[in-house]
This record gives sequence, structure tokens and C-alpha cells, in this order.
Amino acid sequence: MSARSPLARIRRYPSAVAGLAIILFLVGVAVYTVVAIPHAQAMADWRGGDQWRMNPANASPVWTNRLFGGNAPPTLTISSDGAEVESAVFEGGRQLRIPLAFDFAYDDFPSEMTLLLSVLGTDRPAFVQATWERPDGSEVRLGAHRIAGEDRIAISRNRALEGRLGQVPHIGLFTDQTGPGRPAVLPGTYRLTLEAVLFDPGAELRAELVAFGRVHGLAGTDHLRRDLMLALLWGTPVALAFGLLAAVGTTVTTLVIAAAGVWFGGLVDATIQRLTEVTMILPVLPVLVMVGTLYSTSIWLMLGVVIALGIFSASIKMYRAMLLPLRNAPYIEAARAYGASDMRIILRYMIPRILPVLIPAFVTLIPTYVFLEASLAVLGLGDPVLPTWGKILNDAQAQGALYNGFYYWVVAPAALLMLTGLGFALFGFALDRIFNPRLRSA
Amino acid sequence: MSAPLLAVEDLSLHYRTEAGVLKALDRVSFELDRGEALVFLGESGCGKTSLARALLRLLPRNLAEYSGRVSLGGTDLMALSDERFRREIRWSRVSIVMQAAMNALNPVVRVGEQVAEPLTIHAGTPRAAAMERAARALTRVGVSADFMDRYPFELSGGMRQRVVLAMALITEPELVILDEPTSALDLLTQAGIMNVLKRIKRESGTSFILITHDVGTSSELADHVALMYAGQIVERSPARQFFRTPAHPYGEALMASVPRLRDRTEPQPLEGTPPPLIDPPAGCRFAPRCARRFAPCDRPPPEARLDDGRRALCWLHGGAA
Amino acid sequence: MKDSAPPLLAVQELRTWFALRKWGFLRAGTVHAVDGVSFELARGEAVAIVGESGCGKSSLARTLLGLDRPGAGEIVIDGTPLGTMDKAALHRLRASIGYVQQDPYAALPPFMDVATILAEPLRIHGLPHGRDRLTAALEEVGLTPAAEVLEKFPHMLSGGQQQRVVIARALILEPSLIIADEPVSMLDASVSAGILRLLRRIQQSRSLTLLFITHNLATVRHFADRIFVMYAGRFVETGPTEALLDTPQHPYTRALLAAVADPDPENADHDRPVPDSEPPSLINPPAGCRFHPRCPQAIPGLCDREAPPGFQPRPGQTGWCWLHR
Repeated sequence: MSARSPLARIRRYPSAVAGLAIILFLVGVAVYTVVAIPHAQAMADWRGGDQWRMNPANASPVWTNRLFGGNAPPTLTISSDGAEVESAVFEGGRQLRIPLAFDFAYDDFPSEMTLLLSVLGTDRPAFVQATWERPDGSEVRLGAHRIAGEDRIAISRNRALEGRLGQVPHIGLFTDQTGPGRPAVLPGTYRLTLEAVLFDPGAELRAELVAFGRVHGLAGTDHLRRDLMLALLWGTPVALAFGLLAAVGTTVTTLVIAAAGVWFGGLVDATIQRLTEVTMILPVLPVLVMVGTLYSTSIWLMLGVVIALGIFSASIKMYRAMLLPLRNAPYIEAARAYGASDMRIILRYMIPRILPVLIPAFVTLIPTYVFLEASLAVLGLGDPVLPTWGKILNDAQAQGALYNGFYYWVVAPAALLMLTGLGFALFGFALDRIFNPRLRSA
Repeated sequence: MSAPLLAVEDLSLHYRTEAGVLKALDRVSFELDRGEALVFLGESGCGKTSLARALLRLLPRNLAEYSGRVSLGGTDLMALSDERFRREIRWSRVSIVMQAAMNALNPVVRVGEQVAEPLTIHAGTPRAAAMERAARALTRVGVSADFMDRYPFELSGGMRQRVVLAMALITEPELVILDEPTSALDLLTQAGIMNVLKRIKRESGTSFILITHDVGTSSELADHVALMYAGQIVERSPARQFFRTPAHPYGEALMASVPRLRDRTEPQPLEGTPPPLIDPPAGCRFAPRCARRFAPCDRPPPEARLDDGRRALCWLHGGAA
Repeated sequence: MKDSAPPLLAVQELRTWFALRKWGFLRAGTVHAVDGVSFELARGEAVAIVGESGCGKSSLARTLLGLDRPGAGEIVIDGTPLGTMDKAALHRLRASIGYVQQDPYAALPPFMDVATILAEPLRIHGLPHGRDRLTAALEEVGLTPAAEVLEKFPHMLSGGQQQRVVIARALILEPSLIIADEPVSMLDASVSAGILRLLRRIQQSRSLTLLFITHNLATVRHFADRIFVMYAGRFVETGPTEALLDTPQHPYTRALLAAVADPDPENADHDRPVPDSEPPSLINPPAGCRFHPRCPQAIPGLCDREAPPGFQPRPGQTGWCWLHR
């Protein structure tokens, strides 16, 4: 090898620079994620629940608007706080008239509509009547409700309303078409008027109309309204860590075992070779599936099994082939002559000789393990708590994402997986050419 | 005196490397008469192997320059196309025995077939005739024809070297180039091979170029010696003169450093290393190690011709200032 | 030159053999690399073992170094038989024998710099390996400026410099015996003269015993006190350098000497006498005297039946040849 530092030589290979850039980008994302969204909080969030209730379900990312043209609506929240409330007091209560008006000029309908009502300052239930007014003046009565405390009124799921409109409410309320054919949004100002009767003069009614959009955030949402960005971000450190740990674990152990086999020869070598041959044939994924199904799918267990199977893999044969000629190398004989122990010879005299070949092999091994972990997750055997890219794919598949047209759900994690693979592959193969002069073309 | 068999003028061979242009051969000129053996003597890195390659146009991929005039029996070799060179010159008029050639024999082809290959492939000779000539070539080099049916691994190193020699001789070339033919062999085997070469030279009048670093071996065959240093020929002298009184200080130092069996003088080591062939110094390349260095040596020395036939690239023997 | 004190090394009927195996475990013959060798080395002596490839000289060296196991015979080092030494004693023995190999580049780990290479033997034996020690080692073999050389890697050094590093490494544990196997055969003539001179100088200044293995008879005159000539696993002649070179007693020695070409233009005028036929097989060596198939003076009925014992045709010289009976 020339005296030029490896770093300088990396710069001469565009593919190495590109690969390294991708890897550094992913590492940067991973570090940022772990710092900005601490592990405990991420796990809690991902488990789903109330914190996501203001998100639409199955919403596409916001930028799809720009990408595909069209103008899909984001989530609109119209609150009574900003509205001109008319209030009339009577004996024993108040009468309120709350207009919730908003402009709606999008190409597509909301995905869902919910009315959130809270009665504040009294235990007594209130009586609310809701009327919907379209830009063309047509009115629809949405019904009357008795509200105590807090209540969510799922307008979209109102069967009776659906029957009256002839369509699901979140479409029917926004269009004037009744006939056949695809309905179009009627643009203009819409108004939901609430006429409420409160049986306590000091009570207040707070209303929020939520028209859930079809786009949300940078990565969209899943069926549980979870922002996919969380899983995409958190999937990065998990993927990288798993890949790295597995690659390091297997490579180091394989190396030492191969060297020991070569050095001690005889029965030791034969045993290792036979063991390797058996393990080589074992299919890794089915074994992992078995372990996952019969024991647990904890990621640490999976990692352990992967490393155990990976140690006695075909790499042992490759390292053995590279180390075998060294056995009788003059410099090793000289070391024996001045009293070097077997262990010392293996660690300090044989292994450094193959490190240049090892490093590229190690780098290209990392994405293999990343994909393995993702495959396990897609099969439903991923770690149950961790938000990983594979888990996203698993959810997407279970919810029929492609069938339903939620492409973003599949494309984002797949793209990240491919990017990871690309980055490490580019870098690894370029390293191969740097460390192995014989592979260069000139 | 008849015209020389081989006339080389200003032959240069440069390689392109990461560190720059390596001038392995730098304007080398010499002549070889028919039936003569010219020995290129030099130590590692002097360019002698590049010389063999240059003469047979076995050029590397990272070639930077290949120029000069080479004339073989009147034919201008440099003017020939690669295809014509391959057909007409290589192996039919000039053949080569490379370093450690005995390891280059095809292990799955029998000895007889391999020796016959230059004829069957190159000259299109029918197989039966080629095999007969192969048997004769083998006996010529001292290998019994019984070995025709054997495989190379069944032969010892010395015998394999003889087989390679037979391959080089079978087309009866005018010139055979030998690059370190005996360096990997034992003492007795070496002597045997040199005997074979001597005999062939006597009997068939083939001309030889022998490239070696072994001073003793070179004296076994040489009619003339060309001493190489740092890509140049620094001395060209008849063997008689060279081994007794070399004209160039490097020749003197080399002769003084060789351990001799029949002489009680202790060998004198030569300090230092040859200059790099990338960007060689402008003046005499041996000057930094020369015991007789003086003022003019900073400029490139001329070729001085002495009366007794010795020629040296050195200021000590006069020449234009 | 010979000491009256007990010998540093005494070898008795040493045999080293290798089993040839087909397919990894089937025995297909035995190579008798060293087949009955006995000698003594006095302290401070320089002895050359001369022979062609396959004669067993390298196997002999490796057996003495502990790299190959002897099949039979006795090795006594400084009065202690090798067979009685325990692991610790054997480990200490490694420090008292230095090894210089043929290929200087291959003998140095390419990924270690010179400082690390020199420090390794010291580290292994738990000895101090400070900068001063390493610098002194390099200065002793003439590699200066030492500070610069210590930082270099083997591929940055010339062949001669590499061999000097190998020698420095061999000396660093202060051994009493140095075994050098063809130390200059891969070096140019002008460089090898310097290395040989260095070895001789160090051997004399440290009163080291030097066992020097070579196939080049021309080098031994100035660097050896005694010569052992080896053929097909056995010694065929031993004696003081001058006497052996001037009046060789064994036909093989004579053949070797006749085959050496000094740089002499007269060489081109005549052939060299060379024994015909091939070097002997070590698996099935010839019966009786192993040289007999190639010997111009073989006595039929005797040389092909019985191996000759050592005779002393002249004081100090021993020849294993029936001609001296």
C-alpha cells in the first residue's frame, strides 16, 4: 500500500465520496433523532393513543400536493374562540349562537369530520343543535345533541346523515351534486352554526370543528393517526445500530475463529470447517422466524441469533483461504523462532495481514443485516415496541396500503432502506478498490 | 567484418507510474554480431529485464514511451506492425527464455507437446514433423527423448529449464534472449545449463543475449559484456578485457565485490543505492557512489572509446569536455 | 579458533522427517530431510553448511530453531539436552538462538514499522524495549540515522537495508548462536558483500557462534572457520575452510568446487565438469552412499551397498567416502 493516507485516497473515488456522504447523512439523522426525541418518549408515542387524535388517519405527506398537482386539504380546525358568539341570557341559563365559518377551496374532500364540544363551568348538560350551510346557501340540519362535559361528535360517521345526503357526510356536506359521477367540491365559505342552550348562566360552551385533511406532515400518517415521521426517524438509529452491531460481532468473531483454525490446524481446523459447512446451508430467515415464533421477538434475541449464525458462515472459508498461505510465511516462522506464542501470532501477525480485505467486506455487510432486520419486521417478527422501517412496512401491508392507494406509506421506508443499502454499498465497494490494488482497472 | 546481426540505437522504454514517468531504459545502444554472446550485466533495478521486453516488444499497459532504432539482420524492427512483429520476428527469428520460465510451463500439457508448440502454432508445421523436431531439440539440450510424454511436474527444476530452452531453440532463431536463466537453480544444475548453452553456441552459431546479475555466470558465455546501471549501458567491452580490467568505476566496484572461490582477496562492498529511475540525476548516475568522482561528473559523461575495444560512459577516459 | 571449553551445541544422529500425505491423511511416503547428522559447534565459531537445494540444510536449521520437530537423535545445547527442557526453558532457548532468513522482505511483517519489528522479540520475553535500545540495535548493523529508519516500513527499505533489520532483530535478544539460512542469496553482489562483512564483524565482536547455510561456495572462504558439506540429508565432508577448499576429500565436494564459476573470461572456452543424472530423491534415496549414482569414482559392490563411515584422511578433515578406507 502506498504511503498516502486512506482518507486522501477515498477522495479520489466519486462513488466512495457519495457513499460516505449518504452514510454520514443517515448517521446525522440517527444522532439528531436520539437527541431530539428521547427513547422513552418515542416508545410511548409510538404505542399510539390520545396524543394523535388531532391527526387525520392515512393522510399523505403535505408535499404530495406540490408533486402531483392537485390541492388536497390539510386538517382545518375552526374554533369557537375566534368566532362571533351571540349570547342571550334567560332565566336559569344562557342561549348561545356560535357560527363556525371557514373558507374551503380545495380540490378534495376532508377525510373525516368531527365536532368537539366542551361544556365548561357546570355539570349540567347542555343542549346543542347544529346546522350546516354551504356556500350556495343550502342548509343541512346535522342534528341535536345533549352534551355533558366533553364530547366528540363524529359527523362523518352519522349514518342517518349519510342516508339523507346520499353520500358520506364529509363528502356530501361539501358538494352540491347529488347525481351519479364523481362529486366535486363546492368552493366557498362554509358555516356550521351551533345553537346551544346552557342551563347555567355561568357556563360556557367551547366548540371545535375539525375537518381532518388528506395531507399531514412530511411523511403522512398511518391508520392509527401516528405521524410516520416518528417511525422513519427512529428507524434510522435502530437500523444502523443493528446493522453495525451484527456486522462487528460476526466479523470479529469469524476472524478470530478462522485464524485459530488455520493456526492450530488438524482437528481444530477440521471441526470448524465442518461446523461452518452445516451452518452455511441453514437458511437464516426461516430459523429466525422459528425462533421468533417459538420464543420471543425481542430485538436483542434476534441480534444474538443472527450473530451466532453469521459467525460460522461462508466468510470463514474466505478468511481461511487468505490466512492459510500465511502459516508458513517467513515472517511468521521468524516470530516462532523468537518465541511468539500461538495467540500472539494469530492476533498480531496474521490478522493484520487481512484487515485491508476485511474492512470493505465489513462495510458491505452492514446493509445485509439492516435488510435482515427489516425483513423480520415485515414478516411480523420484528421487535414489538420499536418503531422501525420494517414495522412501518408491516403495518402498511396489514392495512392494505397499496390496495388503498396509500403509496407514501410503503415508499418512504422502502426508500430509506434502499438509501442505506446504496450508501454502504457504494462506500464498501470503493473501499474494496482502495485496499485491493489488484481490483483497480489501470 | 560482416554486418552485425542486431543493431540497437537509442532504445528507450519508459513506464507510467503513480509517482511519475519511470525511465527504465534510457537511450541504450549496442551491437551484436552473428554467433556472438552478449551479456547484459547489472544489479536489480538497472533496467535489464526491461531491455528483454523492449527487444521483443512485450510492452506493458502503462507504457509512457517506446522509441529508438532496432535493426535485426537488416530488418527495421520498429517499423513493423504489431501483427507482423508477432508473426515474423517473435519466436521465429528471436526467442526468449524468461526469468523462472521453468515455472511457466503449462502443467496440463505434456512436455513433448509444449516443446512442439512453437512449430505447430507459429509455423503451422504438421504435428508428426513437429514432434520429431521436438525430440531432437530436447536431446540437444540434454533431456532424453523419453521425457516427451511426461508432465512438467514430473521433472526437476533444472530439467524444466532445459525444456524451456528447447522451446526457445526449436524454431532455430537467429537470436535467443535469456533473462536470468540459472538464477533459481542449484550450483551443479547451473553449470549443466551453461554447458548446454556453450555447446549450442559452438555448434549452431546462434547468437545469445544473456541478461544476469551473476558475474560468475556471465563469464561462462560472454564474448562481450554490456554493464548496465540505472537504465543506461555504462560500459561495453570485450569479455577478455572486462573481467580483468573494467573501464568504468562501477565495473571495477562490481568486480571487487564478487566473492571468488579461487582468490583470497576479500570482497569489497559497494555502499549506497542506485538513483531512482523516476527523474534521474542529470550528470553521471554513478557519481554519488564513485570513488573517483571529480568535477566534470556533474554533467552527462560521453562514451569514451579505448584502443583495446572497451567503451565506457565515463569522464575518466577523456572525451569532449 | 576452537575453544577447549564444552561445545555450545552438540548434535548426535539427528533425523528429521516429514510424512507425505495424500488427501490429507493417507501416508504416501516419508521425506528423510535430515538423515543422521552429528556435529559440535564451539563457542565463537563460524561454521558454514554447504549443499544444494533438497540436501536438508534448511531442515537442519529449522530443527535446531525448533520450527520442525526432530524424529530421532539428540540435541544438546550448552550441556542441556533439548528433550529434558520444560516449556519455560524452551521459551528462554528461543532467545538464545537468532534466525536470519533468506528473503529479507518476506521475513519482516509488512504492516509493522521497524521500531515495532525490533521491539516484538523484547516484548515477548518481557525485556525493556525503549527507544534507546532499538536505536542501539540499528546502529550496530549500520542503519543510520536510526531515528529515521525506526519509523519506516519494510517496503520503504532496500533489500540490503531490510536484511540489516532482520539481522538487528536476530541480535536483539543477545543470542549466543545465530543461524543464517542463505542470508545473501537474494541480494545483489555488491550489497551481499556488505552483509557478509557485517555478519562476520558482529560475530567476532560479540563472540557469537554463527551457523551459516549457503549454496554458494565462493562466499564461505572469508566468512567461515569450518565447512560442513551436506548431501541428501547427510554430511559428506567436514573440515577447516582453507583445507577443505584447497584439498577437498569427497568427490561431491570436488564436483561442487569445479562447478563454481569465478568471473574469468577463460570460462567461456571450455565446459565445466558436471556430474550427470539428477539430485537424489529424499523419499527413496539411493542405497549405500547416496552420491554413488553420480560419482565418477564409485566402487561397484561397495558404494552401492554400504554407507561409508567418516574417515579422517587428513587431520581435522572428515570425509564419508569409501575412497579413504
